[in-house]
Amino acid sequence: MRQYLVLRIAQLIPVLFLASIAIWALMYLLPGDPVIAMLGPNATPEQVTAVRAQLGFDQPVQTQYLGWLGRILHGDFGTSYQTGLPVPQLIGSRAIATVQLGTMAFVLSMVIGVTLGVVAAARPKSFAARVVGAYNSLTLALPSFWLGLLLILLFGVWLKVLPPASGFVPIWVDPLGTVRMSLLPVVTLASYTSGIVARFVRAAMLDVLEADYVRTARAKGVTEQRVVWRHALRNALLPTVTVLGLQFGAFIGGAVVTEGVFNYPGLGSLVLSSVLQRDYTTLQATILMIVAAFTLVNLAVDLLYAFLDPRIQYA
Amino acid sequence: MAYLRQRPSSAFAVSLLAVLALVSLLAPLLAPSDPNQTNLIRQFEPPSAVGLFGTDELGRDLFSRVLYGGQTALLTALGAVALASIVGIPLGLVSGYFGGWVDALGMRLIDVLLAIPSILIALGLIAMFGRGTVNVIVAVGVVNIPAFARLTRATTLSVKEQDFVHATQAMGAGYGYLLGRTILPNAIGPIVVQMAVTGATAILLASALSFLGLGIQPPTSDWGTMLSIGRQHLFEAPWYGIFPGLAIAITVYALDELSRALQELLGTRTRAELSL
Repeated sequence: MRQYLVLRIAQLIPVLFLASIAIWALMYLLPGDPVIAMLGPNATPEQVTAVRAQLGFDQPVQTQYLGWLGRILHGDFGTSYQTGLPVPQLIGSRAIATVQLGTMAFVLSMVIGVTLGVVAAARPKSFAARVVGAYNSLTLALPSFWLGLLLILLFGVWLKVLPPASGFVPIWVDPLGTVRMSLLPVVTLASYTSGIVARFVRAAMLDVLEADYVRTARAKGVTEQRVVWRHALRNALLPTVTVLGLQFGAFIGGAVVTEGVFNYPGLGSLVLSSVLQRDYTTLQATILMIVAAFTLVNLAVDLLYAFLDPRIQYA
Repeated sequence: MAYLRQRPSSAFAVSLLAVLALVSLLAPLLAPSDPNQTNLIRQFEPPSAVGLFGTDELGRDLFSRVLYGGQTALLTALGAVALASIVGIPLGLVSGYFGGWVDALGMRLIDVLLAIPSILIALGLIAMFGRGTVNVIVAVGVVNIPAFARLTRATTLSVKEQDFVHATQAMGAGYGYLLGRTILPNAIGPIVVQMAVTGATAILLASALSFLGLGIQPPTSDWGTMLSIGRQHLFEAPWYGIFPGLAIAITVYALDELSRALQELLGTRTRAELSL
């Protein structure tokens, strides 16, 4: 296990290194001059040259990249061109908002997905199973931004019970306010993943319910409810863990779009505003952070999988 | 056909897709008016017998715009699938067949693409090349290359060990013939399924980019762009935020059902199961 861990971490380094080149190059090649964006159209050529030299934009490409990487590795993420704030400060407050939104959406999607998956597998030919099938197809086909719009239209415009735009209220300050402000974006973000989880839990449960130990449990007289929820579900959740790791990327994509729909002040909307305002430093640091988190989550999922299922041996 | 008779939901989805494609292609004949013809007197008219889906902020007929939007969606999906296949399939074939450092290099490049969430790659490419239909197709296509490369590689790995491949090798076939005429035709099943899956994800991603204001630009009729503008007028014209979204959802549903039908028909299990 320790050997596997070392190997996986060693594999991460070249991928993260190449990703850092890709992210830096992408931003380096962006159209538009950030110095002019920063100083405004009335800046004199001398001012532009001075700021360009100050930011290192007059250096050769590889020097600029290595300088950037060196600063990142020392924890210096730079200053946002647009706001003048240090990037970590900017990312920090937004990251908390996104993590809160993401965690609530994750919990909701698990609760809905696991429940629906189990119900559909326990009685595969029932009406309930068909409803779950329809729910899965619906959540996969509904674009999250459209679902968000429909929810705003229904609850914000017609029924007027929830705010049409959403702000960040820390859950530890005002839990009820958090629910009120975040309910619509949480449901929007959770819908797609809940459908995926339901689909996988159903498939895994159908496999597990055929297993010998389930038959043994039934033969011993264990109630059906206990067989399904205690004996079968535990093993059926294993493959779902892998799916959740793979879904993390979709979750981030969903967060960018959902935050855009609801004007929620998280990392997703920070990425969007950085693209629109050509704020290179913020965009590079934010994407790099998200990529690092994405890679670490996938590593954690792999390790969790090995931990949950002792039969798995990593050579 | 026999399969479709047994599975009414698949038959329904396939017919739906055919109708959608036909209606989009025949939009110039079916649309009641020019999708770009403005008429400020008819601004924000609700759906009626005259305009089935109502009108927008410039008095344009939304029904006509949704029909023409189908052409944009079709073009984006086909373009993205074509680009992802043209790059991804040869990469997977070469990687899987030759193995060694070729495979290691190819797959590390794919790992990098996979390490960055797809919407961020697409956003980065759009920021780099600018907005517009062609750039959206390129961005969405690039994002989908890893799925085709990984899938083709995995299938190639199993097909290349089969006797008929060894026999073709022994007969002195060149690499081009071996990969293109011997291995690829036998690895095509999962790839076809992946094409349907990618069509659906391409439409979703392209509409998301347009919705965020970074995709296809007005006045082109595009479902995502329509929703983006409709969102600003939800209070006075709620229909504006409904019909284009419905068009996306129906198309994606039909493509998803098609991919599942193909999967059962071809007896394949693909990465698509994990990614969609």
